[in-house]
Amino acid sequence: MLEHDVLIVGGGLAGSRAAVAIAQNEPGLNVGLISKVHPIRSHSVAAQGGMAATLKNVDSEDNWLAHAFDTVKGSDYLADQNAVEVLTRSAPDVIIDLEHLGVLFSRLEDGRIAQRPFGGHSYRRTCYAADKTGHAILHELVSNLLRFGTKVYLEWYVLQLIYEEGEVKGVVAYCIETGAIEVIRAKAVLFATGGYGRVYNTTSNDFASTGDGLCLTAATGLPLQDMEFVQFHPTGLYPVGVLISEAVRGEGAYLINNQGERFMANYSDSHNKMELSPRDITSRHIVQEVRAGRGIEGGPFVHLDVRHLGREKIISRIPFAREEGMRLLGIDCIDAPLPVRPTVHYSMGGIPTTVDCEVMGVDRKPIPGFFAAGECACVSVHGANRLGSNSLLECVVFGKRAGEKIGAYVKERPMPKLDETAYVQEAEKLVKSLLNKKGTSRIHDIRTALQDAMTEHCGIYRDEQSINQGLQEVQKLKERYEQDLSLDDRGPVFNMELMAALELRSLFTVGEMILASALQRRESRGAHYRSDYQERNDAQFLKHSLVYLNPDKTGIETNTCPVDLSLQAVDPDRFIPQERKY
Amino acid sequence: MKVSVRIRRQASRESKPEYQTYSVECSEGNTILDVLNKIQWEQDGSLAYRRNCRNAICGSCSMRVNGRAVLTCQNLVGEELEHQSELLIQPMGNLPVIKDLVVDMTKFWDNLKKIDPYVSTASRKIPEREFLQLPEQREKLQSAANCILCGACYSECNSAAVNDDFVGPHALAKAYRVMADNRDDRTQERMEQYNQPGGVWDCTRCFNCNEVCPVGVQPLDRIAQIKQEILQQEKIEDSTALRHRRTMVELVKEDGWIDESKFGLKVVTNSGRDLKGVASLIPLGTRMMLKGKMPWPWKFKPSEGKAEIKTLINVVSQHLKDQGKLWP
Repeated sequence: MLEHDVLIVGGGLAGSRAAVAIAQNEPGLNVGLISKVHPIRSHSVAAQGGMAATLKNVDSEDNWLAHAFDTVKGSDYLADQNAVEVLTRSAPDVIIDLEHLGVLFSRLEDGRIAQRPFGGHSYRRTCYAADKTGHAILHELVSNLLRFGTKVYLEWYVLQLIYEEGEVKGVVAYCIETGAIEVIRAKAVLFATGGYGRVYNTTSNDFASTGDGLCLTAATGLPLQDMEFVQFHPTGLYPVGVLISEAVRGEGAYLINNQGERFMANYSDSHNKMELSPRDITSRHIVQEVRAGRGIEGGPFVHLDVRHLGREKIISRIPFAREEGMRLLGIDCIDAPLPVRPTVHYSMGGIPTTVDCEVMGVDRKPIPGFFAAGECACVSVHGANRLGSNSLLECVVFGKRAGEKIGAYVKERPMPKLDETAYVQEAEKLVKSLLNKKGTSRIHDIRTALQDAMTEHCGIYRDEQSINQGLQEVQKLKERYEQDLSLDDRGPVFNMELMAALELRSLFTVGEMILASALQRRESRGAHYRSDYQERNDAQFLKHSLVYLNPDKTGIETNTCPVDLSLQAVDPDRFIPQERKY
Repeated sequence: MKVSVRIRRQASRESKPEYQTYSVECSEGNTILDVLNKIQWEQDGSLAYRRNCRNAICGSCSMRVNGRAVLTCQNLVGEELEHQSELLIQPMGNLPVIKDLVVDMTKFWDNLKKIDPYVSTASRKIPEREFLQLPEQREKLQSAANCILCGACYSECNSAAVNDDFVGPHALAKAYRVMADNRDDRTQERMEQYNQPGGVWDCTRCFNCNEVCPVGVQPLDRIAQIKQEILQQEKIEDSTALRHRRTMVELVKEDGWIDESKFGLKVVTNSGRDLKGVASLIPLGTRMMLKGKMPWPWKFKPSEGKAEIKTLINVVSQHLKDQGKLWP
């Protein structure tokens, strides 16, 4: 059995930041970081737009409370206001920390960090590194992992979270290169496993975003929170789905329908902020345009036009977006508009945590030894809809915070007692059973059917009938997976098919949790739009939803818990829920 | 269109490689990665390769396509088939194969670690706010900072292929990125570090890294920038590499081309001061003369155009001096 004081699962921004924080503060601790891809390949690297913080380098009147209000309003009032306070108050400091670590932010003429406008933010507060902000930050953090000599389990996959006697004691892990199975015991396990975009058929997320951490957590019977809130980013490049950064609209791009109109002006909730309205609203309006027959040439997309920005600005500010268009479609946005449609981008829901990143059970009590941060966590700073520039911020604020908290926590905690035998046997059995599958269905076919079902039945618009149909289809596909799956690769070495089969388990679990949560929320809020309940209903639904397996793990149960509204005491005029318009 | 794809397969580290050909229905606008995915998803699930963002930023999917390393999510089928009738896909070079197209990159990462790839501010007073960095100071780091550590340059590096100590173009590009950062406080130490064997002078300047880099890092140019910085440092201890460069220019200026016998004396023996060098020169010189690589010293004749060459060198070095650069 392997052993660490702290085991971090996931090496993206939150995981790496946590590891660096522990190495800086508690260099004596034995930290392990396990990731199914090299940390530098994590999806954080693809984040483009930037990271919000009230540095006041451009807009001197900006302040944390304004950032907090924008975030809460953006969340359709579902964010926990205590968590939003932590997020927005810490933001300037964590940016400065990153800068001191060497991150190459874009700069103002006088050498200070530059800041730009972003959807849903009332001031220019987004710090950025051209349009490769995630890349700029992650590369410096991972360089620092090398510097501190953090033990990294490269290309290892976690098969099981060990949760027994009411506490988390470690994980069962699988080495992708060799097929070896090891139990890793730890005083604290931090999940920083990212999102689940691959549950849907069009996503900006990388191939690895399969919601493994959420599935592992749910499999123990612990709850997930607010899973119905799936963010569609309005400007996925059509048809591939990769992202055209919101920074492009931040710099002044227009959204145009087939009439040549900037259609955002035609809707009451977006006519002021236009293209800089939040993502949920913008995505719905694109779909509405398409449904009304105003898609370009009748197709399922609209145009994103930057031609008026001029060549120089396009090349200096949004070079990556230009490169994407040229590489994937052969379109140079200097000369022609880019075709875009909404693409699944971000998971607002996740593993419920306190503001100190401690994972909470259904009873809202912290689970000893278990922490979560970043996209996989639901702390909740994004509520029903995340603002652009707040996710990198969340990863860094709560990654750092988790590292600090855990550093202190493990000093007081003994190494948990654990008998690994049964866990190893169970894992071996699982791997063997998958390798022995001899049905007729290829993984890709089952996965595609699942992704299509989720997109069809629980996409931007959903209703009771569609969700129920989605649940039935997922059930059928799960049976097909159990009974009819077939693998070509039955060997132990770097078996990508086995990995895909394991990841498909995650997609099933996460998909079911999304559907079950969407079913019980009979209102429309943020990214969750119910065609059969089109209004927000604060009286009944201004609360978080919890979803979890029932005790004998045969079905799914849901519950709710209250939203923290503590900032109402600071500024009642703004923080008491009101209609959300931009 | 139907495309024939020939892939180098290898079941494990120890297995013998073999080639397998697939026929794939795809279009010219598909990426090479799309083609690999189609094979894995629809025909042969045992095919192993790395992939992730499919958007040229995560650096996972470099492989050799038609003989040179590319980011497979970036290159299109149509481009690759312009001069070829089939796609040939092999793992990256200079790194051991784990399976099929997946290579063990341990050495690549270890080499990166050797150059201390982080901006050091330990000895500077850390301000409460950000360090200032002017847009032009940042701009000169941009090319190097574009690096996604995909390994394409390392795969094609001629020096890495024969010189186990060479840290590789990726590491030296990163070295430039941290060394030239105005916030870094170890510039002097770094120059000494990168001046050592395994560092910048072990690059053979074959240009392969520049040719294959998918994101415009142009590692060779970055290596040249580090060399320039080192050459301008008077404090840096004299080394064989530095003498090599200075002597070459000196001799060409003198005679129009190189008198190999003098060259050896000046560089290898440090003009007779390095006794070990002197001892090594006798067998080396004899071998060179016997192989016809060097004329007998008394038979050396200066170039007929030596006056013209001298003028040229003087003009160039004056021009560089005017720009504030030392040369050689």
